[in-house]
Amino acid sequence: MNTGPFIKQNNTTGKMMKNLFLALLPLLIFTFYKNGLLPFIKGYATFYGMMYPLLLLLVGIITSYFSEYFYFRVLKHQTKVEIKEELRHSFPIFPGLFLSLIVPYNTPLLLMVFASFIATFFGKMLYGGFGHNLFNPALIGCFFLLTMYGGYIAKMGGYFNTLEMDTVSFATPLSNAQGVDGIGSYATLVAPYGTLWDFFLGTIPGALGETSALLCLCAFFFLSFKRVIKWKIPAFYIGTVFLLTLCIGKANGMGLWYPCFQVLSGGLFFGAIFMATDPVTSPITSIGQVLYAIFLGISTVTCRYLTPLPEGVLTSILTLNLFVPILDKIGSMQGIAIKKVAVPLLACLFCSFLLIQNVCLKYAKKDATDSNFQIIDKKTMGKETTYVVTQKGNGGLIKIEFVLEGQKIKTMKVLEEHETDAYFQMVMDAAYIDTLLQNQEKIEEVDTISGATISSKALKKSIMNVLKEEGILR
Amino acid sequence: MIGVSLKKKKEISLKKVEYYLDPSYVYLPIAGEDIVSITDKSVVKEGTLLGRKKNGLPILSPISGVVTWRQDEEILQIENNHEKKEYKEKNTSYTKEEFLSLIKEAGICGMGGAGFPTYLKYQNAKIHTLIVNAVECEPYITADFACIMENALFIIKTIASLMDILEIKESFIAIKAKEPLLKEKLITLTSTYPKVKVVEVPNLYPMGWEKSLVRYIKHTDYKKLPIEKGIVVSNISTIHAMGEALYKEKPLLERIVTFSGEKMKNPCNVHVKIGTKIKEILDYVEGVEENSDIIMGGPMMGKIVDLDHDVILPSTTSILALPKQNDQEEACIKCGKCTENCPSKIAPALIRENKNNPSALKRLNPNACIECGICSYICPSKIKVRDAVMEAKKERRKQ
Ligand code: SF4
Ligand code: SF4
Repeated sequence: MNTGPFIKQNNTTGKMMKNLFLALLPLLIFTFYKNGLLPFIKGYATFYGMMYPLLLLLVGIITSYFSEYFYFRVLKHQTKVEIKEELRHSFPIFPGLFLSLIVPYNTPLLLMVFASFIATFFGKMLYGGFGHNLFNPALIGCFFLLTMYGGYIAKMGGYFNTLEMDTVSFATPLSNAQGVDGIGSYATLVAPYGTLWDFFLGTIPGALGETSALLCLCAFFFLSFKRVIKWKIPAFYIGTVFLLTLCIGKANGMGLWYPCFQVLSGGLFFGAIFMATDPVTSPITSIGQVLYAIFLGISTVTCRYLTPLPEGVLTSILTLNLFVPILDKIGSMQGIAIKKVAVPLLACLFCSFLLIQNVCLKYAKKDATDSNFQIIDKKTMGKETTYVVTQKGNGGLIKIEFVLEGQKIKTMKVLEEHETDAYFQMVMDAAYIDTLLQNQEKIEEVDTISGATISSKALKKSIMNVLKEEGILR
Repeated sequence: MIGVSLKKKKEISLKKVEYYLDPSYVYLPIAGEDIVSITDKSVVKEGTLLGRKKNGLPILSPISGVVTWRQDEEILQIENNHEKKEYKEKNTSYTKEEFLSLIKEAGICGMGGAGFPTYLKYQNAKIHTLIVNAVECEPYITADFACIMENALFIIKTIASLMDILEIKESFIAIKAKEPLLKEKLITLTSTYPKVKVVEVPNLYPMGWEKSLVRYIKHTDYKKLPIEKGIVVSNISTIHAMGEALYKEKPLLERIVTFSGEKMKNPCNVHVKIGTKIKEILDYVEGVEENSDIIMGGPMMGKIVDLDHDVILPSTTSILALPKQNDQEEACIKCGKCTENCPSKIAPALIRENKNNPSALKRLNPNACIECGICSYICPSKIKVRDAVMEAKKERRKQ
């Protein structure tokens, strides 16, 4: 017998999924434009190359659809009619759809089939199907893909589409940042990819559909307004990452651009808005959601600085998925009980915050004291200070003498070097030392000499190190 | 403010007021511990004492006629002999004790849905604030509205008398926002009673819940009952019934019931006797269309009517005929909507998940559920979350 209530809100799971798909649509179009159309127009991609992002999408969706079909047919022995009914309530295309937005551009189609199958079959169906999975299916698929075939895909070109391979082919922003332990200047971290505006728009290298923070943000407002997603999660997640990296940036003398750079890269917006809010694998209680998001933020930042994983979003979400029941347990405590938990919890949060801060500061110090640099002699006479230092080049140590007056380096003289002659000659020919001295206020932006990178870099570094020693450069 | 906004649908039943005060039979359900003091087949008058319920309230005959005690079915049946009784308005003054025994003997209980004996509410400690609940936050129902429209001045006079007798310092009439007609009427009529204020509350469900009202109007919280803070909340129809007892010594024998819903052929408000069979009144108002659920109470908290047995009770606000639902339950997607909107701030989805896990239930506190039904209403997967919570409640009681 019907026990009421006898009216129901005009909202169904199906409608929510439809809205989710609508929110994803601009991203799909964008990924086609950025990774397919644009390279094609500019002549970097063939027609096949242009269609490739769409092909990945199709393959992902079809595979995940048939994985579910396979599950019901082979494991559950259901009839075709039953399966049709099951599939109507189980939204079989979503794992594949999401997956096709988070894989690298150069994923071979066969591997896409593999990943999509893992995502749907192992990540979703074996847990009991829609609504019962513990981990986000798409992330599970991507995780397997990257851990098993990441190297192979990287060799194929990794995250770069054909256009990017030709123009900016070094590394994705965060891998590049990791090269300098995450701490660097605007010139090294952001400039190679354009401006922060490009990061916001999404015209930077990255996984297929997750680069555009702008579109993700639009989707966030749309989905929050339609009450499809738990808005607290992206808000607190991105907020936490912003705050933590702001502190780290400040501790290392970097401006507001630094936290912006950090939140705009590595698919954080996409992950926070679409993956972390997956209803099935995120907490039900609002306290649980806030905690989940904060821990996601902490975990992501930790990953970026302290582990070899440059992005940390995928790993963090999968890890935190595991803690959802516990977070909900905390979130569902009533009255006094919550006060009991609140203190240790806050303490725990505070400690992890301190830990990150500390470790990052240590990093910063390590970075400041270049191990290739050594001061041999330092004399002060009146206003002048003379340094004799060594800096490692490509052929051993280069011995250099600096004379400083006040805040400025007056002269720089190479006393001894064992560099490859041809290279060093190039440096001298380019009057590189003069260039360096003239631009010592913005030394970080001076380019090295291509062809003699190591030697020229060593010279540049030595100046930077001396300036740091004097406290002029941070 | 936690709550959901529901479509009001009040206009449906506001077109007409009907009277059905002369039913051929009335039936009074008698529970196990109630005492029947009348002998079988005796002839009674309207208002005659037939027995006493275990909560102390008298069982009064709503009509004059012949009583049959059908013990096996646990009902008192009274066959109408169509004798009328007149009530005259008197002016007497009462002390607090006299007043309490008056409303007790008049059989007055909460008419907003709970049916709690009113004298118990008022006999307690010192009351300084009276909140008159005229919110009717469930859709369709307009019984209180109709009662106010007919008796506004009388009700306000009653409130003033109550305040005198019980030494209540201030009182509020809580009405729903955006009801200009009601607001204007009440404000004009209360202008000569400075201690009676009309407050508008947001158009949210369950705004008519005592806790929400006290929170909204007095900005305070209580644990079990509002009397802890010196506050009493009474439904406006109950106030009206008290007034009838005070001024006319007329007990609670009839009330206004809303007959409404998309499937009600002739929606209206009907004055009916307590104890009238619902089926009888439905026949009188031209009945319901096919394929409908007939519900007693609001669409959120009401229950399906058993047409063979159910009768009008003092707490019956409405009879609704709504389209049958055939939603299919789907898997819980853990969207958290039920939890976010639960006015008791518990986690229905988690309670449902842990129905058979006593230690988890202890923490999840299903007993705080007020059975408002929001969780089931809002669930996109159309899960009967409230039923699960109520089951869990039972489970907790057993332990
Ligand atoms: S759990 Fe109870 S109080 Fe909470 S929304 Fe459901 S019915 Fe209402
Ligand atoms: S509203 Fe329904 S689907 Fe959402 S969490 Fe509650 S029970 Fe699950």
